[in-house]
Amino acid sequence: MLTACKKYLTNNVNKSIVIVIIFLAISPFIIPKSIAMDILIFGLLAMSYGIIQGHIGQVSFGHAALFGTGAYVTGLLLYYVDIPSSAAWIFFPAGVVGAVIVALGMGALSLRRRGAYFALTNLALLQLIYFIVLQVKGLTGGDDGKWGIPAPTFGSIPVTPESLYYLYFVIFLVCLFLMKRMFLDSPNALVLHAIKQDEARAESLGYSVYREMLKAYALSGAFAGVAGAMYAIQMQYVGMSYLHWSLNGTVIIMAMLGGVNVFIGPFLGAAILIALKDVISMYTVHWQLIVGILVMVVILGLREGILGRFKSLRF
Amino acid sequence: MLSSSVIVSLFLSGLATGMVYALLAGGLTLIFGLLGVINFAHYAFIAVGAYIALEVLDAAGLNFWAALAISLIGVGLIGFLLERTLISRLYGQNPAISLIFTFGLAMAVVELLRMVKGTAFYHIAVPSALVGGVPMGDAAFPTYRIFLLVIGAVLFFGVWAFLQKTPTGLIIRAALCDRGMTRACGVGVTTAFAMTFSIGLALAGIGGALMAPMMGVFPEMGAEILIVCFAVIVIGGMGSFMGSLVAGLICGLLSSFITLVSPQMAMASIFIFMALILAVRPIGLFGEVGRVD
Repeated sequence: MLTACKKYLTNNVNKSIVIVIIFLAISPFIIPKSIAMDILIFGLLAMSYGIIQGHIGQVSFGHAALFGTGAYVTGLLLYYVDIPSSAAWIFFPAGVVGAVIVALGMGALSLRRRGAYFALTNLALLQLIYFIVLQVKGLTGGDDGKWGIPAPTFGSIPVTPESLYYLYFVIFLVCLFLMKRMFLDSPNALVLHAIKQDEARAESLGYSVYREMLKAYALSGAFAGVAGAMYAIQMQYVGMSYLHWSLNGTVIIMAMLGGVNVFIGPFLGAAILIALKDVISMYTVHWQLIVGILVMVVILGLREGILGRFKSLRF
Repeated sequence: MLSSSVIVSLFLSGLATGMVYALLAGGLTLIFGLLGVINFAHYAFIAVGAYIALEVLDAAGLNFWAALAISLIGVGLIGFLLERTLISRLYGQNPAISLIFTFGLAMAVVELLRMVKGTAFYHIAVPSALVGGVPMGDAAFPTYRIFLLVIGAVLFFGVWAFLQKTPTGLIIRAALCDRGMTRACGVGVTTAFAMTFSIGLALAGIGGALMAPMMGVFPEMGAEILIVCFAVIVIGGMGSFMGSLVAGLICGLLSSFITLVSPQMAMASIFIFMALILAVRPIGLFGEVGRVD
């Protein structure tokens, strides 16, 4: 057992993952609980985005659509469907399925092109979803969103912020290991990396570039949907800000700050940005100025992100 | 039954909106085509243009025409300086990286506007010569929208003529085709690059000043229209200046006529149209295969 642990920890990537797990396990005791929760949820969201920029190798400006779909599907089902509150957890996977379906549609259209076209097509598709959700006021609440979404319970025990955090912690762990399995330790991951390096050559070896990318895009959508569903339950609210394009910017900044070519890079970026925002906004309301400058500095001076400097962590 | 005056006024207002889209999208597409930079900060400079116009009117006490001219020149100068200091560092990278860089730039500039002028909503009056409407059947069509259509067309064709008829325009077009070959012919392209960014941004600046009397002045005023303009350049074909005109006008007309059926779907219709174009012709209406990606 001990030797197995030692063997596991000789690998720097595994070490970094263990550090993240330990951090998340103890963070409610060392930092404010609401911030710990934000780091967990947005860390997962940033990691799901990391799949697109790190493994597909494209920048997407539509990731909020996947997060928002997860949040809206789960949130609205909880709001409208009358079901015993302990059974209401089944709406959680429904949000994930919704996000995957949207991801398949968006990916099918946007993956036909690369680079700037890919980024802007995703942005425009996000905007399409945004306006549709905004207009179906009767169902979604339009601009106001929906407040007072009933939280699921565990039998007769109500959900406390602590128990919800540790439930999410477990879900996060499952997602983390699924992601690692699918994007670090599998033959599929190698195919994706081959595609990232040379699409034409991968195609000539018989891999369907489009299909492999679409698969990765849909999986990224699934994890973004998990984050969205988590957020809707935790906030007991769904609103247009979940689908707003500025959320994309934030997520991309998180991922690039930590480093998109490192497995836990996006998570670290999310944690840093959330903490930074919290600290700066204690002193000034103009935190966006500082974050904006930070973005420019990261892109010009720190292209691989903070963790990208460590070669042993990169994939 | 629809009266013909309703149709004509919908058509004109669609064209006027489309002309604004074309101006802003034209600047974006020019910058993207030559520099390979997607300028998300365009929306911040739409607001900067409007604030410059506001200051010229209120603080300097000049008239609306001076305000338009100064916002054009002022934002153009800012563009020139920005290209030399920051934007030129992005060349040769994945265009999507420049999208995030300019997203950060936009965040910083918009926050600076908030720090200087606050989040208040300012109003700019329509100049007295353009108040009122042109009678059209039983209704009147606002004169200001007709002015918008005319000045938009003048600016757009001004830039087009500059690109087609002047030596600098020739260098810019040559560099658009093949940057390396232009350099190899001994033509310096550095100034041409800075000029291009400057022109694109100047169009955003005057666009903001022109939009101000209709929508007011506030820091985020350019955000929503910028996203529409991204859809416009995807529809028109990225890097195609004329494509942005055609696609801009189509989108303006489309949203104007959809308003008749369902006002709520006006904005969404543009993005649905874009999705359709992407499905049948992924490079856009006027895009060229292999030129930009």
